[in-house]
Amino acid sequence: MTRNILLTLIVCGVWLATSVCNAQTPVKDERQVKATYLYFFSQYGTWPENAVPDAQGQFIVGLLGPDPFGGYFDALKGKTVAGGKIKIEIRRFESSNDYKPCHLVFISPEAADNGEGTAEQRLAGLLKKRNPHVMIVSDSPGLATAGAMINNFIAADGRVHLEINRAEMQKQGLDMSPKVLQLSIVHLVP
Amino acid sequence: MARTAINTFCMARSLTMEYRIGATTFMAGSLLVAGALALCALPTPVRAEPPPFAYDSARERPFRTPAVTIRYQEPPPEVPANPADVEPPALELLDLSIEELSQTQVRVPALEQEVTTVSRQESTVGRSPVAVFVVTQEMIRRSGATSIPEVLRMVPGLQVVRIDSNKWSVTVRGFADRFFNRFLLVQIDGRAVYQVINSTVSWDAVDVMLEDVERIEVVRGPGATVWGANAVNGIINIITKRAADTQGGLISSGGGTEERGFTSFRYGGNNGSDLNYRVYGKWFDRDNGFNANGDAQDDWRAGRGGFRMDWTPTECDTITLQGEIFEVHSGRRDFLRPLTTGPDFFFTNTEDEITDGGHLLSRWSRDLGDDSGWSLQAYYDRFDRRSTNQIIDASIDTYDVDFQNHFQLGCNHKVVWGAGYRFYDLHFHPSGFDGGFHVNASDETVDLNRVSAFVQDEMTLRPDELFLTMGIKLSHNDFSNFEYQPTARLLWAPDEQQAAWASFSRAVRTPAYAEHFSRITGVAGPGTSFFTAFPNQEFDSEEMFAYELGYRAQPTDAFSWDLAMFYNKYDDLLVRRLTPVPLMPIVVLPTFPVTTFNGMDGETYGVELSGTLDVTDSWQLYGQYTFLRMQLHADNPVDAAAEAATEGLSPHNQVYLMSSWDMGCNWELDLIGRYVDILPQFVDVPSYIALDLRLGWYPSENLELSVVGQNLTDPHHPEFGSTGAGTLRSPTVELQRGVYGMLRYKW
Repeated sequence: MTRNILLTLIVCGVWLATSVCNAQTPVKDERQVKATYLYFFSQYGTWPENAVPDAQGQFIVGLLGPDPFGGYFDALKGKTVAGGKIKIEIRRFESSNDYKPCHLVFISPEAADNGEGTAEQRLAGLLKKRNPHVMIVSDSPGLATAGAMINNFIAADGRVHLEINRAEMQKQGLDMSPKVLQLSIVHLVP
Repeated sequence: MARTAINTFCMARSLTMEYRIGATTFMAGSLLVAGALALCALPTPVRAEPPPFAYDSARERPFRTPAVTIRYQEPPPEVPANPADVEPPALELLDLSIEELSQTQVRVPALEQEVTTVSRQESTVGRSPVAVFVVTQEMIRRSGATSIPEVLRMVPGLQVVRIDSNKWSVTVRGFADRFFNRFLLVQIDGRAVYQVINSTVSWDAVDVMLEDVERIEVVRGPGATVWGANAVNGIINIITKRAADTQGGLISSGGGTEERGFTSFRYGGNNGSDLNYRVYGKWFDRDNGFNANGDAQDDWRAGRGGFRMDWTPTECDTITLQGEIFEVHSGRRDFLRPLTTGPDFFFTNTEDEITDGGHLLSRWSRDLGDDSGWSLQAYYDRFDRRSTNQIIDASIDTYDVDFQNHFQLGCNHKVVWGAGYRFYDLHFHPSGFDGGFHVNASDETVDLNRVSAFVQDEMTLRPDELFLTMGIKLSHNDFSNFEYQPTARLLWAPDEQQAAWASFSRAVRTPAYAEHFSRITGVAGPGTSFFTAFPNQEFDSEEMFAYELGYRAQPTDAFSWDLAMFYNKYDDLLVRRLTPVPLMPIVVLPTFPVTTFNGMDGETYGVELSGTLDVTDSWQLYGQYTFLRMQLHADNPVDAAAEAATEGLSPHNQVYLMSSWDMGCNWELDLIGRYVDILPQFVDVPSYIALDLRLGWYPSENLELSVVGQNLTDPHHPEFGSTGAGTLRSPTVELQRGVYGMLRYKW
């Protein structure tokens, strides 16, 4: 009896001792994981000089379509690339009609009720309007062979995997560091 | 002459049986096929073509992105109307390296869990026409378990019994036993740890570094068609991580009351391009259990070290080399009594069993794309067990080579086939004496061979919806000669959220060396024979026909459940009988000759239900309920006692509940409650409820501190009683409450 009371007290004590704050456990919010990958692409990707002509010393990350990141996309703003010399600036585009040149653009997988309802339509629109040296990242099956250079997906092992279309990247004068390419979660698209 | 007559008789008998079995199999197979065809004949609705996938066009939805449907469709509540107004959440993961980020786990829906055990190819739980359960690395970590059998307690349909500190019985769907867990096949990275001398798994010598386990796949029901004999009631496949996924260092160390101390260490590296490796070491020391009559003498100490290397010389080739050496000390105390009802501790045998051994495994896999590929595997395994007073002294050297190939045939057939050869080299050494205790006087070397081949085809009857899997395994062994083990399985997946399946299979447990060859004599004092276990070369395979039904569904993103039902019919089950033997040597004291027969048949049936509920993003509940009934019938009334003695070792009801809560501020709290029904065979083993509690804290990404309390509800309770063969008994040892603390650091 005393034992049970003691046990209950311990459990209650633990409940009370902890206040609500951001949980930080091994199983992560995938929105954060995917937003973090965008950051790492900015660090490990290579772009030609003046990839975005009017960038004015900024590294521009675009989001095409509705925000799937739940706030984590905004957290990229102000982070730096090239050893702290270049600041990241974020831009949002409702549809590819609004698109302005970026270094890195993420195509939202979410449905929308404007003219571009799906990721496929967004990609098709973007391919017509893009600046040549933009790294296109998507999160929808099949896009890595339809013009996107990197496609995220969650595999059965519980990790975010990346399909990388290196040929497409190199065609646009871009590349990705071997450090990323040799990760076990990377699947090179032939 | 007489021998020829017996052989002829046996052949005739087995031929008749095979005919009968063949007919049943055929009928059941036909029924399934007929059912499937009837479903096929229904008009096919017009289905939208799934989008093409370049990387894996053969699979209907190769890498489905469950997360897209799960989280991205929810309106993200954190996004304010004007993002500039509110501070965005911090990207804490920026502190990680890209390698660490690539190891980060996000939650995978239950039906999307990867499994390879079912068909020896990558598939998912949702697409498996069997009762399969996957234990993930995260579940292992949060269970607070420190050994493989302890991890397995959460799996529905399993009965995990800690007989004493170092002895375990792990069984699926009945037939628990201390010495013979004979219907379950256990594999680690493709290497069988099923022990061939007496058909069991020596769990005290089976271990891996738990931190480096990718997942444990448990299939209930026969898996004999692709995995071979002895996968009668189930298979446990322990799959460790690839070397590329264990880069960097990890040390995990702790200790407590029952877990006196443990340390695991791993370091993984690479050559910068196509070769990854890891080396690891593990050591533990576990305390005695509780015995009412004094010291239980069952402490458990082990050390092991090993490596794994994965080399990918080309994009489609992977060459794996792994090896390990280990040494285990497991205490044991048994006693002989002159009568089966006599007082305990007449003669006791107390000693340490020392097991050492190791393995070296190499595998070459080639991925040919389009869902086809092959792999060639070869391994050597050594298991050498002796006891400090030489009561036990035997070793097993296993050489195994296995080839498998899978490919697409047309657009509706996925075929997998394979062949394997295994060679066992057994050595037995003369047994010593301990307190008048003596087991075996023979000094012999025995070679055993096993050849097998299998083929299995998964047919798509209706695209993306209805699948029929049929297969057969043919094998030959030295005891029961040719065996065939067929299966037919039907899966209906009306949508991505649910699937129903039905199956029929036949599986056999082939005889063990001990049943066919070895004469074991238990002697207490010079010239006195208390019992002799006689070999029986007529002993044939035990066989089973399994009928199974299952349904699993994920009605919402937060809830999934799985139901499996089975009816297993057994024939020629093993019975050990005390029989008068006509030509006994000079007998001074009463003798109890024990002989092994195929003397029982029976039915078992049961239901296994499990479910997972995400109450909130940070609180998850998991639960399972297992119901089992066994009804065995001895052929000869003389063996009637064996019916209850076997049935009474498995509980009718088991419940397991787990709550995992991320409390915030990097704290985790896990609570596990288990209920196990009585084991009717023992008067001193009541039903019990056990409670485990784990409190974990992450001061940083790389450091985890945790405190785990196990079996908290009482100071000690037994999970198993005193059992034995004839007059050999083992004491009832009780499991004690234990608390340990642990630190885990990664770099």
